[in-house]
Amino acid sequence: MSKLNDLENPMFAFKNIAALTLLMPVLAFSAVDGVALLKKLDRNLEPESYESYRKLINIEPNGNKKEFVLYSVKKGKDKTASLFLQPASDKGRTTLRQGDNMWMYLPSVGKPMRITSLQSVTGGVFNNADIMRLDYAVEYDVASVDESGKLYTLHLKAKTGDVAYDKLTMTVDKKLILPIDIQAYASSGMLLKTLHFKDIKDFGGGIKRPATIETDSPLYKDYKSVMLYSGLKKRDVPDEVFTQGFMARMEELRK
Amino acid sequence: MALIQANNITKSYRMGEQEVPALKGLTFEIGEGAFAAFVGPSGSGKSTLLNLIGCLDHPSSGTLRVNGVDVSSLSRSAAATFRGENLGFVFQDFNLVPVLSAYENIEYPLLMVRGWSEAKRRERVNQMIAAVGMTEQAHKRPDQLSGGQKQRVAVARALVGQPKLVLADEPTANLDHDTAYKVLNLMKAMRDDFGTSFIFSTHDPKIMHEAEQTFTLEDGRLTAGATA
Amino acid sequence: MKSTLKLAMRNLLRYQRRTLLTALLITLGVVALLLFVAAAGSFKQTMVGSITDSMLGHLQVHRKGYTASMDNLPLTMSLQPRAALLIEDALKADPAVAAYSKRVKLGAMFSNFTENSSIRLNGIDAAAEDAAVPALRQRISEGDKTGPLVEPGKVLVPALLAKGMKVKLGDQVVLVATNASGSVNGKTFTVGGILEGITGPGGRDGYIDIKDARELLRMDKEEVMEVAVRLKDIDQLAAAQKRLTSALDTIRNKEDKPATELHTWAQLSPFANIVKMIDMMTFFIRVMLVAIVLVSVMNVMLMAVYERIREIGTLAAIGTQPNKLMAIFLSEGLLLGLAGAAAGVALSYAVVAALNVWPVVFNFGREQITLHPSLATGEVLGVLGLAVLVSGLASLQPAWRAARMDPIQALRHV
Repeated sequence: MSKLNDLENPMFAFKNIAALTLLMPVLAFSAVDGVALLKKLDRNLEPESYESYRKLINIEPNGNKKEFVLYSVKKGKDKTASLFLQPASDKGRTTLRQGDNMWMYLPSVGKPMRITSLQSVTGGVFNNADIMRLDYAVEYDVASVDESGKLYTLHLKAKTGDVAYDKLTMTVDKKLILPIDIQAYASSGMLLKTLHFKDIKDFGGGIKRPATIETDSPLYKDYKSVMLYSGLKKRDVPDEVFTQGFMARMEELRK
Repeated sequence: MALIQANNITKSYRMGEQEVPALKGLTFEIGEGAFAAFVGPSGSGKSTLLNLIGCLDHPSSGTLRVNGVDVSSLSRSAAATFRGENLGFVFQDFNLVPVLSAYENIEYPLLMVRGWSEAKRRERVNQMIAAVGMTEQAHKRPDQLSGGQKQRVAVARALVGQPKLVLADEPTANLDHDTAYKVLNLMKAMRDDFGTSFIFSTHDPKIMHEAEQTFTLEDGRLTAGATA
Repeated sequence: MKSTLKLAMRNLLRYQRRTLLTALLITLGVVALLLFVAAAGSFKQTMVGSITDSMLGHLQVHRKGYTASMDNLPLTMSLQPRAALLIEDALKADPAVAAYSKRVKLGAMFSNFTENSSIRLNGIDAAAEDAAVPALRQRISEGDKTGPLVEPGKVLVPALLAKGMKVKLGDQVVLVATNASGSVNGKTFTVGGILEGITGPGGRDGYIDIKDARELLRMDKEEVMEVAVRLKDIDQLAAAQKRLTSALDTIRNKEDKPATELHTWAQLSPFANIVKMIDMMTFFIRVMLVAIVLVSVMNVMLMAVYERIREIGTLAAIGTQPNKLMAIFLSEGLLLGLAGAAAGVALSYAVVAALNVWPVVFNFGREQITLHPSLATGEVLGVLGLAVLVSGLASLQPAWRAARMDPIQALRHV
């Protein structure tokens, strides 16, 4: 009998189909659910409703530093508000985010003013979208997930045109499901900024996450901004907090 | 002393590499009040001789004295001055300035060459105009005058400065028989009235007949001397 | 002389059409040049006047290094009160200075509560600013044009911004400024007036009272970013710049280097380049005029000499001196040039007079400019002289040829 080539050999087909069938569950299991992964990552970073204390440091090329201390609260999917605690000149300034809308309140002005996500209430490389951040899963779809060794790489696409960054490339620690770094891109493909997550800390209440986020941008060469978390706690506050009328009263939340 | 004294004058032209002799050694004299003609076939050197006497050109060698002045080597400017003060010219083609009236044409030498005052000029020009019988046409421009009238104006112009000598190269060539005769008679009258010498170059037998002296040129030489 | 000119005139009139055509060409060239100079002059004057009288002033003093970053409105390069006083002393001492105005310059966010935009602001002392840039108030399109330029709590909003942000006279707006320390300060203001923009940097600035500006920036000292200077006479500019630079040179910083810098309006406005361009264009049109006159007159004179070769020979034969012959033809060319140029000058005056009765208005950027052309006597005489000179030069060669002609050859000519 002449040697049949593999594709004509029925034994070849049978062997491989058997192997595939056995492996199927394994493969199915390895096809990562990106959305579930992202949701888990969000919850690992913060509870859905929380309060936090952060220090924002803007570092200029000449070494000068400008520091701000913020107290923030978030509720549900898309409501967050912040209060400036330091420096003294900014004390009393508050910001509010409802979905895609943002406002700023200055005591000297007495009435909230609308601002945009790409502006920055602190200056520096962090913009308002970075400071008053909503869950990634709320703003982004998962386009694809790559897996390798200790990392997942998530490719995220903005759900709407109102989201600050059109695409994100997120490297995630496979074990911890926490971000290591995120690259944010414009729709043209241009890199807008990179966020580096460092210093995993236990904040209590089951929250263990990077305490430091550093960011830099090719658009602000030699500038750097750092966000340091010093307090992060689950908290439910009334809906009323996230209204323009409450912006002048944010300090009440800290009693 | 004779008005014109020529001693062995020659004139040669350079034509490329060649030296062409036009006058080959002429010696003659012409006195004051002469009415003379240079005759000869074309190419004989009549015009060349007239040009030398008229101080428009220098002889290649020899001496030429006009009115006692050695004109063999005058500068351009000195020659112009000499001509202006001593000579008059009448041309075959009249050569009047088209933009000037008859009066102004006659006035020209006194105004632009001699620099006479207005009053002096006016007196003299009117005198000349009357002498040539052109008083009625004084204001007319050359293109409004007949050939004979133009030549009469030219004669007046030539004589207005009271030159010693008038040179005329074929002055009647462009005039009809009667007019030519009239112009010639005019010139003779001028010679009689003012004592000016006239020298013509011509091959018109009429003029030759009227001339009191004839010099015949042939191939650059005088073949016959003065004939009284 | 008179007779030579008479002869020249007669000869020019002999070929009327040719003379007329050539003279016409020269006339057109002269008219083109003079009208351009008049119009461009008016345009330059209006624009420069607008820039110096309603925005920049004639000169500006800054801390050394400020102008290099001027576009960013830096807050860290301001003049300290001591330096500002010394500058004031130097300005008061100079006889050419008519007025000066100290300004605090800053960038701010302009919000109508629902939208915001960025605005460049000048904090001014209303009276001083009015003296330094007296035409600024003419740019106020809405609001009190006769009262003080700004008052505490009021802001002069540039028209474009007011339109984009949909704010009107009397509306409440917020100005939020980032301080030198990085913190932010905001204050509500009432729109006190709407300001028409003008061309160039600074043309879209808003104005507030200097005390409000210092408050927004949380300036505890009376710092100043800019001192705008007005001279009594703009023609004194170069001399004043020289004097003031050396006077200001004595104001030194810790390293004993000059602490200030002085610039003229031209060094601060890109319009100065447009002025240079216009001047260059004027030069080229002048060159073209020279070419037209040269070519047309030389052409005509060469023809004239050629046509009259036999005549030249005749005149030479009957005793006309060579330099007299030259004078005859030179006069012709000069007269031709003079006639054409004189007609051009007369026509230009007529057109300029007409333009002042029926003015031409056109748009430059967002401004409307009305031309008020005028002809300076010096310029006119210059052009006339140029045309005559070039006519003379153009006639030189043909005239020289006539003078040097051999009468014998000339007489033989047909």
